[in-house]
Amino acid sequence: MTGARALAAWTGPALAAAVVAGITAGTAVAPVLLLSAALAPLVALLQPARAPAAPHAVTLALTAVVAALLLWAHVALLADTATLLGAGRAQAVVLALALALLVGLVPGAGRWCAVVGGLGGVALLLVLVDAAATVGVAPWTAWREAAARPAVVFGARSPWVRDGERLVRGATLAFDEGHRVVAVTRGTLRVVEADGARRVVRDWRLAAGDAVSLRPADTLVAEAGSRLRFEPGKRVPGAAASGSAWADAATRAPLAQVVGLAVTLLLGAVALVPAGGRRAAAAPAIVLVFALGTAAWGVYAAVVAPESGLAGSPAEALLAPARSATPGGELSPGALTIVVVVGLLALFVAAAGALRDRVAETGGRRWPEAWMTAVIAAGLAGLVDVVDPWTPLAAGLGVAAAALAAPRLAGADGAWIGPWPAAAVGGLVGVAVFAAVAALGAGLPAPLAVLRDLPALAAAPAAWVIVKVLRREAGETR
Amino acid sequence: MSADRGRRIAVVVLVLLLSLPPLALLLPGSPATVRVAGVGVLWWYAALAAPLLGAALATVILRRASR
Repeated sequence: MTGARALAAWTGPALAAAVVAGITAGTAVAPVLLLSAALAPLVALLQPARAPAAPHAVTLALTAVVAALLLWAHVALLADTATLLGAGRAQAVVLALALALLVGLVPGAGRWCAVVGGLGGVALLLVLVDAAATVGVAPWTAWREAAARPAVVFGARSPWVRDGERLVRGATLAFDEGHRVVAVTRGTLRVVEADGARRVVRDWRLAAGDAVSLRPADTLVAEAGSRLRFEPGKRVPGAAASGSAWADAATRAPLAQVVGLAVTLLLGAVALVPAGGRRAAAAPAIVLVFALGTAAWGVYAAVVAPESGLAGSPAEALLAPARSATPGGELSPGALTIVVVVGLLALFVAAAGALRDRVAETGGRRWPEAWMTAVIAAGLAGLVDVVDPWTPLAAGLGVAAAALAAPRLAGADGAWIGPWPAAAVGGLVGVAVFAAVAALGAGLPAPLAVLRDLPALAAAPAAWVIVKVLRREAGETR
Repeated sequence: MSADRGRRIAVVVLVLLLSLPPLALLLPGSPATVRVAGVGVLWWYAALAAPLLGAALATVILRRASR
């Protein structure tokens, strides 16, 4: 298997967008997310090749669930991109579904998908080069400039200032200074006014072009689809207070969150990326380009469009460098945006092809039905606009970690516990613990709160222990 | 050194590289806030040094395996 084919399930559009958006917004876990996205697939490539697990309906179902969740994340990202560009969410979902299903119909699709993914990566690198030319400095200088901003404010050329921009998801925006917000389209905005300790809630029904004035400490609640215009030079609501706060957020990251994220991505990669063989020697270079590219992309987006998190989708940060390009440049912002969209679609095709490979490798006669079900489920879920791409991405990687990687690391592949393959037993325990922790997470005490967001931290050890214990007992009774 | 042993050592090194930022968060004096050439040392590490080291190590191990 070539390096590109081995990695395609990892370097999908949802993970790239999550890394870029995290860096642009200056989230506390952004460096660890970037680091894990770079190192986890390398660990997976170097894992020893194992005997494949015996085909079983349970392992097939678990792999299909992981594929469905990850496809959902990618489809949601593409649908968000379409929404930001003014197209319909359903149109993007139908296009993504058609591409994913086509992957299954084309002979030798696996090889072609990797080539398509590589071309998509090259297309995105072209946009990155253009962004570097627009900003005019190296990424580390851009980082320094972003960290030196006295405040994170709307630029004069921001689409949120010029024509107004659409919220992909409902948002609650907290204002630190007075701001006049214009509703570009008709709608209702809720303003929670801070009157000393008292809160006054007012619903404003606005016609297109009407404005609401917000005072410091006021909060604006807007529904998904609302199109709003902000004032240039004013602080971006919800963004870091200053460049310094943006730069240093990572040094205040909660340790449990950092560890949970790293473990989830590490084990998720072990489940998704196969051990590197003879032809995978180029794979580390692909991982390196992915890491350096997403890091530079995130920093440039922070410089040219610091408001990129406002729409509620990571797709906004991905589109930011293209949309902020100089209109008189060699490639217009419109052309660059098309290149980004084509690049994302290519990465999606590659990821879909690789996920289909993982489902097929699980074996059994029924894998085509399982793959088809995963694709359709992902498409239907992608229509739901309230779920951001990170949620199914984290869930997919978490289930992969708990239900596929942990049993494998416990030596489940090729082993049996009574009449059941050990991989199926461990997988069932892993997914059951994952679902239980995710469902009951709200009631967990504060020190265990990290499990609510990253249940794999509890589910993966549970699956590992159960396989180890049951295998030993099965061995003793024989 | 056998290919399998080389792989195991490389995996341990990669996991150590991944573990350094959480360990840095535990150290007194906030070493992660130090800046080198104006950029946070944590960002130099996560965006450049660790991916470069990791990719170089993995390339060496995979090339040895393919001989």
